[in-house]
Amino acid sequence: MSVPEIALNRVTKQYKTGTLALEGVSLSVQRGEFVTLLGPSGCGKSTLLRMISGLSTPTGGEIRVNGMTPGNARELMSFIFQDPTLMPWRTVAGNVGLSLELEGAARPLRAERVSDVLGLVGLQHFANRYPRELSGGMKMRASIARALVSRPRILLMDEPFAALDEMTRDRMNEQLLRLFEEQKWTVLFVTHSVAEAVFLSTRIVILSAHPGRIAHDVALNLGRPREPHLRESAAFEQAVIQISRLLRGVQR
Amino acid sequence: MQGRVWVITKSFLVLVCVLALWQSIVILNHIPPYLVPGPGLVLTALRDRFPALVQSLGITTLEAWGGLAAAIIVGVMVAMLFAQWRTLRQLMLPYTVLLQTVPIVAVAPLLINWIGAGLFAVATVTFIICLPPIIANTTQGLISIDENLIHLFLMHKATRTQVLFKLRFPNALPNLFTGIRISAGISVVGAITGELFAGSPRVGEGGLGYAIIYANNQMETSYMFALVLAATFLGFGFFFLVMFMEWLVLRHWHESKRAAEAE
Repeated sequence: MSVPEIALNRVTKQYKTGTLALEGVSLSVQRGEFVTLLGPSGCGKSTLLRMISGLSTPTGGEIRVNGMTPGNARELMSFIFQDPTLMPWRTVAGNVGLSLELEGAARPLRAERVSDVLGLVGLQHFANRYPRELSGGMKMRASIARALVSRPRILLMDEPFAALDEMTRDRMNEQLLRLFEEQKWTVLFVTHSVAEAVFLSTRIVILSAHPGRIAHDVALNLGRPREPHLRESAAFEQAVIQISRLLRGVQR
Repeated sequence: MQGRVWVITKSFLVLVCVLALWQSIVILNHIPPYLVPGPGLVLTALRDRFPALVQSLGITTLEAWGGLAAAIIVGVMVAMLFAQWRTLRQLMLPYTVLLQTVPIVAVAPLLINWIGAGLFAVATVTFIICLPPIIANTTQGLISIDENLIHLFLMHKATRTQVLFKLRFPNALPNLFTGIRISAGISVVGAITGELFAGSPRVGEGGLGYAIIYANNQMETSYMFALVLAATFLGFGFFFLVMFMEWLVLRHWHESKRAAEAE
């Protein structure tokens, strides 16, 4: 088997306050997988994501991203937060081009890449608008475009659509899937919504809380490409029921 | 639009009423003009001494602007140092608050001893009182950054300088303007207070504060009124100028700014 894209080996995280957030988490994600982390609040999903991104270090165990330490693999990854966290003083294009600008990329290259990713998320006509002129869904799309501009192989998404209304969220899910199927990323996704998890993922990892441990690891065989009407199929419903049961099990 | 014209007309009518009331009180009670001159006399004084008044206004404007501009430049630099070094901030920030509570009226005579009376001394007084609001507000803006944005910058290996100029500084602009607005208001007060002590190195030439003292000694009460009017006008002008600059810089982005306008 090839080197896994993300490999966690008995990862433990204890906060300075003494709280054990994660204990002995081992997980291997292959290239091209869409893995969703589900679990009650306090199970350390976000902590896990932040450690993989290199923003925080585990207190025990080891994390490898494409065989490297998270710090050395930063170029491969992009992080998408729950809030769009756009800088209000920059235009959409200015926000999206941030990472290239920080790396000192030449202006023409920046402009080209920015317009490419804006096209990808359907914001090509909003490049010169300011964040406050955008709707919630458009801000999130700008935030995703910002993550994509550095051409990552791995996307770490921390409840990215949690703040959106359900219709917008469904539409965003569909757009994300379309992009995922085109771009062949590896995605690690955190959510509280079972339906969202089932619709998007190839695999769902359910964590239990206090301390966070992996309780279940479920592969989903719903096929690809996935269309919106998958949500109305019996197989989808079946999977939602199965995952919901497992989730209820760990919440007791 | 018609509603707006009516509002302005009403405000203007209030002014006319107040002036009329003032004039009638002065006439009916036979108040001597050296105590309270009527609006007519004030207008006459304003017209007759207009060149002197404009000169005083110019001097005060220069002192207030000079002090304020220096406070903005120094204040932003100090705030940036505070934002970069937490230890320095913890050590020094309390003293900037202390600076604010120093009674400037008591310090002004000292400053004259050190640097001599005149424009520069008054600008220094203004600088001292304008500095603390700029430092305090700007520092706040430089350190109150969305945690996720910091993470984003760090993930893309941003340098400290990049974080400072591309993230912290723009993030602090609304706070900086809050500081400037506070300081602009007190800069005119500071300049006039400074002039009461250190107004002029030569007799007969000085800013509004100096001229007010001078007119008072000469019992030129109507000219004093005109000078007070000019000082008020100057404060107003400062306020609107700062508001305009703030609008110019922040119009695109700051959401709370818009909320403030709606109030």
